[in-house]
Order: sequence, then C-alpha cells, then structure tokens
Amino acid sequence: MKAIAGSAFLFALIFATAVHLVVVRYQHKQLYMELHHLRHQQDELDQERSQLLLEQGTAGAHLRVEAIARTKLNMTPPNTGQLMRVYP
Amino acid sequence: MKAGSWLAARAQRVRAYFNFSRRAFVLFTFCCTAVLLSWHAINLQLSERDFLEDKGQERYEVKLPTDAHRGMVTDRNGEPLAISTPVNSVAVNPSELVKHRDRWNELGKILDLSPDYLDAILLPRAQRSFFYLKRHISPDVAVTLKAAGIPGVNLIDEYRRYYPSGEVTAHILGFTNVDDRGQEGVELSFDSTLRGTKGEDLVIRDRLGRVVEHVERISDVQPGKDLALSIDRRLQYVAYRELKAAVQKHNADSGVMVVLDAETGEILAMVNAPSYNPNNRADAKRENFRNRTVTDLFEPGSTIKPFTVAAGLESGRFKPTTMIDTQGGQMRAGTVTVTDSHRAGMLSVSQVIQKSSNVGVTKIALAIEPDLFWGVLNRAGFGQSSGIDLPGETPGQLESYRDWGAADRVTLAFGYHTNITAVQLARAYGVFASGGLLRPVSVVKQSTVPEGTRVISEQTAIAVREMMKTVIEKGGTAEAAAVPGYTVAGKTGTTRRNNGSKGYEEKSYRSLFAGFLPANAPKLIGVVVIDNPQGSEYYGGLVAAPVFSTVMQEAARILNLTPDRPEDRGTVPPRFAAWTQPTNQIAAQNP
Repeated sequence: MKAIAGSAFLFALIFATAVHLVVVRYQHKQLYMELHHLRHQQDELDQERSQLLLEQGTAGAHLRVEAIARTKLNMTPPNTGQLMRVYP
Repeated sequence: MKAGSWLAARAQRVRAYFNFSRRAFVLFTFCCTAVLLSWHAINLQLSERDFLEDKGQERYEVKLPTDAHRGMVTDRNGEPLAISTPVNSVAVNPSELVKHRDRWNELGKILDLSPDYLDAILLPRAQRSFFYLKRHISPDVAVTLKAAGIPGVNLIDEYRRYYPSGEVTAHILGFTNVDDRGQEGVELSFDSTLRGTKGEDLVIRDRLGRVVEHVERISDVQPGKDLALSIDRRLQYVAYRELKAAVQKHNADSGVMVVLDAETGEILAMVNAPSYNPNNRADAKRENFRNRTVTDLFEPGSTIKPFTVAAGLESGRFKPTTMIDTQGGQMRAGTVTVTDSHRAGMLSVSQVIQKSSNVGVTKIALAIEPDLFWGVLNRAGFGQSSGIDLPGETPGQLESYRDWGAADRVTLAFGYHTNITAVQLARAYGVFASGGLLRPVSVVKQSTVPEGTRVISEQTAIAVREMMKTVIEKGGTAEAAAVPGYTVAGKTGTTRRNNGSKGYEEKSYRSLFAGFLPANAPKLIGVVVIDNPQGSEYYGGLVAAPVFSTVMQEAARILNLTPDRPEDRGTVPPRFAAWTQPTNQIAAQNP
C-alpha cells in the first residue's frame, strides 16, 4: 500500500515536472523570438540613426555650408573691423 | 465422439510440436538480432559516440556571428567625422544561380552589371557555393533585389564607413578597407578600440535555415568604442581651404598645416594638400594617402633660428640687445660661405631674428659650446619622434654634437643638416609658447593638461617670444602673418630643397612659417609648410605666412579668443582665399 502510494507520488512529480519542462521550453522559445525581434528592431534603429547622423554630417559639411552661404545667400565672413566685442 | 477426441488430441500434439520448434526458431532469430543490435549499439555508444554526436549537431546547430558596430570618430565638440552605417553586400551561390540563367538579365540590370561580366565571373565558379558578387550596395538597390527574389542570391549585412567631411579630414582619419579594418591614420592607430569584438550565438536551424532555437550565447558582442579626437572640425576646414588655395595659387607640389593648442599640446587641425576623397578612393593617387605632417621630413631652415638664439641666451653670452656685426651680410666660416638675403651691418640679437640674418645666428652658434646648442635642440624634440598617436611617424634627424664636422655647427644655426616633420616643429614651437616647456602632442582629446619637460628657462622663452613678435611687425620678414586684433609671434623660413643624391636643387624651394598667437598668452600654434612653390614668390613670408594669417584670423573668431590688440581693427578685408566648388561630396550612392 505504502509502496503504491510512494510510486503514485513520484509519478505525479514526474508528470508535473514534465509538463513544467514543456511550459518552460515554450516560454524560452517565445522569449527568444521576442529577443530576436527586438534585436532586429535595434539594428534597424541603429541603421536609421547612423544614416541620419551621416546625412546631418554631410548636409552640415563646411564645404557645402560655405557654398550655399556664398552663392545662394550672398554672405561673406565679417572681418575683424566689423566685429564688436561687448564687455559685461 | 471417441475418434473426435483422439483427433483433437493429436492435433493438439502436432500443434504443440510445431509451436515449440517454430517458437524456438523465432526466439533464436530474435535473440541473435537483439544481440547483434545491442552489440552495434554498444559499439556506437562507446567507440564512435563523439564523432557521431558532432556530425549530428553539425546538421542542425550553427554558430551565428553578430557583427560589432565600429565606433564613431568625432571631433572635440562631438561632431561626427567617421560613421559606420549598415549596408548590404550581394553574395551569390553560383551553383544555384546557374540553374536560373533566365534571370541573369534581371540581376544584371538591378546591380548594373553587364551580361558579359556576369558570364565571365559566374560560369568559371559554377561549382562554388559562395561568391561576393558586389559589396556595399545602396539601400534602395538592396530593396529592389530583395523584392526580385532571385534564387541563389543573398544579401549579407555589413558595415560601410563614411566620412562626412571628406577630403578635409582624410589624412588624419585615414580609412578602413572593405572588411572594416583600419588602414591609415586614426582608423589604423586606434583600430582595436574602434573595432569591438564579434559576438557568437549557438542556434538550431531547421532545414530551410530558419533559427528555431537559441542554444547558448558563446560570446557577447562588444560594440566598438567611440573616439573623440582633439581636432576641431571648423578649424580643420578653414585650414584645409586656405592651404589648398595657397598650394593651387603658387602651383606648389604639396603643402601641410598643423594647428596646435598651445596650452595642452592637442592637435586642433592637421591638413594636407593635395588631399583625396576617402569615401571614394578609386581615382585617388596613392601618394596622396600619406599624412605628410607626420611622415615627411624637411630641413627647418630659418625656423630653427629662435632655438639658436635661445641657446645663445641660455649661455649667458648674449642678451636680446647684444650687438652683432653681420659684416654686410656675408662671412666665411671654415668651408662655408654664409650670406644674408637682407644685407645689414650691426644688428641686435633681436634684429637678427627680425631680419632672419644667417650671419648673425652663425656668430651666435660659433660663440657657444656645441653641447649647449645641441642640448637645447635635443630637448626641444629635434631629432626625435613627437610620439603622436598616428601611424607612420618618421623620427627627426639631428646628429650628436660629438659627430659634428666644422661646417655642421654653422649650417645647423640656420636650419640645415637636420630634419624635422611639421608636427615635430609645431611641438618644438610650443616651447616658446608655453614659457620653456615641451609637451607631448596628441590627436585624441585630452581631459588634463599633460606634464611638460623644461627645455629652456622661462626668462629665455619670453625673451625669444618678444623677438619673434618683431618678425610680424613692420620691417620684419613676415608682415603678412599679422592677424588684426592679436599679437603674433613667429618665424619664417625659406629653404632650398635637397633632393637626396642630386643635392640642393636650383630654384626649388620650400616656404615655411611657424608661429603662435596671442603672443603674450599663446593659445594657438600654427605651422605651414609649402613645398616647391613655382613663380617669383617663394619666400616663407610671402607664401606660407598669409596662410597662417587667414587661418588664425578665422580660428580666433571661431574660438572666441579675446583680442589683445583691439586697437588694430583690421581695416583691410580679410584675404579669404577664392572659394572653390567642393569636389568631395560623398559618393552618389550614399542615402
């Protein structure tokens, strides 16, 4: 009687852990997929950031800025005589 | 009934007989099979287990590498100078692709490759399973190619390096190769910092190559670190623009300029002309890849004179007011005839610097002990490396005073028979700017002021600085180096170029200017070297000094330096170089 009860208990434990294992594996798979997805998203955002930085850097390159300032906006740098220093 | 029971009994006996032998036979066969199978199982388990397990795992477990993002290089204000951005490369599986020849036209059209080229490149490789058809394609081409879905064509994620400032920062940054490894400049000297380390994951893939399960992380991906240089992008641009214009105007072979922070030894600008576009190096000349500011040696000529005079002052035999007879600008010293381009008679030590008198400095050099003279030069970094954190620095050349011949002491006094790079010269001029200290130079932004070593006394340094101020004043050799609103100290140099075996060339010069401002509390040191200017103007005061002036004028405005000569308002408009159309836009494929 005792032996049967013991075996039943162990069997129940085995069954429980087996089910648990399945659940954990499933969760692991789900989480991994999510991680993968997030990494992918991170990569894409990184890519976009670096391209925006690059665009900013290219648009703000002094060669280009000066070209636009001189030709389109007709600007020239001030000489020292045109600068005024204000002392507090 | 009786006969029937007999028959039944017999049948039972017969059945039992057959049953037994049959059963025995079947049992025996099964036993044999079981024994054989278990033997094989044991055999596999014991002797070939590792091999088989490995083979099995190979079929579903894959090590998946994750590329590390290469760190960004920025200037001292955080402006990006080098950025990695992910791009796609086209890898093909030729053995798969040859089965779909009908789609080659389409592939060629998307990638802009001719059918002949595809035939020539793919057919000989028909047995292979991997080949890079095109590296680093633009994002929109990648999208089209992905949509086309041609079998055997795969897109691989890679990084490509872009340099938004193009040719302006080409030499200091260097570049990376197609595999993202540094080849030149900062990209090479700081490659390990910038590169980072690849990560690796062990995953299980199904038959179609989809990742089904993540087994374990073998190593974490370590992205490369960002690097802040000491360069100021604005100063770098101004220096490049002016230098390029000067090299073009004088039809010179090349030119370099270095701008140094006088207080910290940081390089604020470092430019070479001609330059190249690092974003598209296909048409660039290899000789222009070299960063001449660190690799190219030249004789400093008259720019060495402040050091000769400093040695004279240190000896105690000369004061700034000591009079020296320059004998009308000509003297014989042993085998050497020394001449001055501006003939004069009696000059004070200060005027020797102002007029750049060769005779004057020769007399000073001959009056002091060789070891003292050599000591000042040596401590100022002549004949040594500056230790700058860039690859390929050439150490300067300065013979020990023990090996000096009779003429060496004389020619050294006005800067021949010794070689130096532009960076080493700028560093040496820091001695006068800092009040007698030699500081290390670097291209990386410093958080603290590095320790300097004493070269000459503060008193001597300030005295020489005063003399160098007169060079820029009326009657000096470099009036063109003046910067409105600021005091400037500096020295010109014009040397004959020494072409190795052929000796000194006729009518081939090098124009130099080295100086700093504001002269009384120096903040910026600048060195300009222009190699082989053609035409009638070749003096350092006419070719190199104006570059110094315009660059420093803008640099002072950009950095908001307080003018120490506010009464000089610079009525003349600044000599800004003729502006030229930029030639180094990033390649059209860039987004």
